[in-house]
Amino acid sequence: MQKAIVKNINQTDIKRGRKKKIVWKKYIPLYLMALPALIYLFINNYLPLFGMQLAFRELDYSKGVFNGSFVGLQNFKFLFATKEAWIMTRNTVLYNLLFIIVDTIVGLGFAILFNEIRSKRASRFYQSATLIPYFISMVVVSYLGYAFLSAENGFINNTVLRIFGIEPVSWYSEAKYWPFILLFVHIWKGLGYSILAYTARLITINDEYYEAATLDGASKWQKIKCITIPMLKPAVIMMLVLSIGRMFYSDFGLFYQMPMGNGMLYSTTTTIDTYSFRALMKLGDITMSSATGVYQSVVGFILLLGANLVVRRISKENALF
Amino acid sequence: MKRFVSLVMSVILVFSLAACGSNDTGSTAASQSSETQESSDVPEVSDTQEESLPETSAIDFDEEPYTLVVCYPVLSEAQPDLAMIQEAINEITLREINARVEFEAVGLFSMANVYALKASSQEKVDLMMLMPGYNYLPNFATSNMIQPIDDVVEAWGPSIKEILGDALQAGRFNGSLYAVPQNKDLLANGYGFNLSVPLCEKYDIDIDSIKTLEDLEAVFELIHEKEPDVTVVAPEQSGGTILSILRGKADPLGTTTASLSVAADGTLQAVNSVEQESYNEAAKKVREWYEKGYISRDVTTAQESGSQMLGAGKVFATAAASLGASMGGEMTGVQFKAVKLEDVFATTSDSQMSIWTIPTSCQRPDKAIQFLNLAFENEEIGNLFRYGIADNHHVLLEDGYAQLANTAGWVNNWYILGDCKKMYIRSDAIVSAGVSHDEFIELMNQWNEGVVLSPAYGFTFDPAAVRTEVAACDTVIDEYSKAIGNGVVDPEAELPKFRQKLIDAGVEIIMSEVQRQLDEWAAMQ
Repeated sequence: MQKAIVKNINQTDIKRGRKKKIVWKKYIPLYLMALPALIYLFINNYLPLFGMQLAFRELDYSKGVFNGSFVGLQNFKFLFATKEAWIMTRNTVLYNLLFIIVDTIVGLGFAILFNEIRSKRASRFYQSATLIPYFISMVVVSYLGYAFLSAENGFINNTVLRIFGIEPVSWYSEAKYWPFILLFVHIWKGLGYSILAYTARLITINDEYYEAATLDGASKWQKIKCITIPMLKPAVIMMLVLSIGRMFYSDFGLFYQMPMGNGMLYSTTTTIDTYSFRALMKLGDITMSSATGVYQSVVGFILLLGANLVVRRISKENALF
Repeated sequence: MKRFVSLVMSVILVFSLAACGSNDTGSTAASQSSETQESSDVPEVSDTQEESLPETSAIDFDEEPYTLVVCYPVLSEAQPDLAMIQEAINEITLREINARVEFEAVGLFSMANVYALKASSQEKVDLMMLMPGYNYLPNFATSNMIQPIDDVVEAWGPSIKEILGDALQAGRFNGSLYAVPQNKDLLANGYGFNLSVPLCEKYDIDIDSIKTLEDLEAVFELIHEKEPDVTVVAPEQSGGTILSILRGKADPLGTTTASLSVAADGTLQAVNSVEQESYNEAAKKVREWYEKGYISRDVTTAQESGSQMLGAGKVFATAAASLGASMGGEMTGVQFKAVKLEDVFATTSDSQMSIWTIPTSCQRPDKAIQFLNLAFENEEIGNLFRYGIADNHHVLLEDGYAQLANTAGWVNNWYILGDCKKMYIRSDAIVSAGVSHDEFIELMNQWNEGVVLSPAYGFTFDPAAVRTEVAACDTVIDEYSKAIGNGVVDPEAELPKFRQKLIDAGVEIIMSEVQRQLDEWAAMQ
């Protein structure tokens, strides 16, 4: 048995290392199939890059939108001008780090657990059930949150806390609880999707490995530790690198809708997206909001390249490119 | 068999992706072709156009009738009968000013986007209405989306100047006239409290006898005691504050941070609203009300407006900035009456609610102003546009007021076009006030006579030089004003923080810029 496994691994390694000349005929249909999507990608994602210059210009419609005079980095100033601005950057980065770590651990954990469920029907039911919150709009979720957290009529204040005899808390006025509340809502909403993503990888792990491990007398935990997690390493690393690329973005719905416009929560719930949205709603200045977008994308891009570089140094085959 | 199935699947996939792509290109192709069509109209007319404005306001009837594209706001209602009304209006305009009008509806909430899109794609638009004008006027003027119209109004708009009078000042920005304000029936709305009539009748409270804040507080205490489930007072709009009503109206000079203060020698000064004693007092008062339980604990989170909740019987009084001549009204069957605590005071933004502007891309601003002038002179146009065709969309009752009918065909909730003083009045507005038609007109006139114009009426702030500071200050205001304004937090603790954060965000820079512009404007008067 061990010999067969070794043979398998060797062949895969060799296939990866060898750079044979590409047989074009085989791949043309695939490229053709991808062509409409590639064109769409080009038009939708690459062509608008031309609009990035809006962030560096002044708005003057008489000359045409993209011909306003060049003003350099002036539109970016409001993102760094005040202490508020640094708080929102701090919030964005910290929330993203928190979400990445918790998402990976919880998503992976649940995926492994789901994989262990014997009954296929039960397993499918649980997967669908955890996936439902993903499709509920954030606006609806914010109202669900309101039903729980409302100071006068909320479920938590009136029922849960009363059981424990604790004084009702004005949830929408206390900023300190909100990292936990937002984390909870984020996990509740995104769990089904991460489980699905990890499960897709999990089921491709060859059963032979597990059988070999059982023969060698491995316990459940040892199997998970030595087979499942190492085999999932590429998927986890890929998702990590992509998430690092989105470090300066945030889920606008979550951070804008959940606090329901309560200013007292801003110190812990403002992120770059909500900050620029609120700051510019009255001004209506599209050059400044373009500046926000450019800031987020450029920084995200640099982070993505950096993270990929680091991963490449550590384990070459796991890097994205 | 498998191969065949997978081939069919891949073909379906390709076509569905291609369909996505072609939808986009299809619509852009359509809009492009319509653009080229419209832009081909313009060179035609300019070929036959005489040179610029003649000295005498004589309309040229020898040229081809010009088609004016007029954009007006709608509340996303379907307006299937627009074509009918357009026809009727066109009969008048062809006769009087040798022009045709084409109306285009623009959704109220996507107005900024739609106009920006039209401007950047150089679509033909001759007149656009901005609502609320004070939101858009500084932006659009600074970014050259609209053009100054001093000369055209001078040459072609004698009725406009006559009817609007002082109110025309509200369209000025940075020294030039950019907009023609649409006159409203009331020069300005008052600040005060709307009280629910059924609840007052239940406890024998005479609303007319409430004259001071103390009287009002006594009533509040009574209601709070007798009806513990009813919220005593709430802000009228869901984003509003009770503090702004308690503090009383101050001229914001077109900013979010400043207010006008007149010094003893009459000079106009711009001061930081939040630093004023009046703000302090009002903050303490509203906190007192919150602690007594008059204000709901959920006031900052509630998504329904206070007036809706009053209509549902859950709120007794709303702090309102919309008091009108009828001093009351009705919301979903519940009548309410207003208590006014101060005199009515008109600021520039009051007259800037709905303004007509001409985009830079318009080739014939003179035609546009001719149309507006005609609308102001000839009340038929205004009536047609507001109420639709007689006996179809409205019924003219004997007293001269119009009852709406067939609202599925045409609805227009605002005075958008024409001189509202000459137009019919909506019957339901009078009915809810409980007075006859003539009494209503009398009330309106009395109200307008009692309105005091702010000393800085006509001044609008241009934020171009201090955009960064304004953006930063707006976020700070967003953070604190609702909470302090509704008494949810203790002003002793939070107000100093609020002030300090504003200073950190650069509010003093904004103040000095406002003062500088105010001085410049005052010197030109």
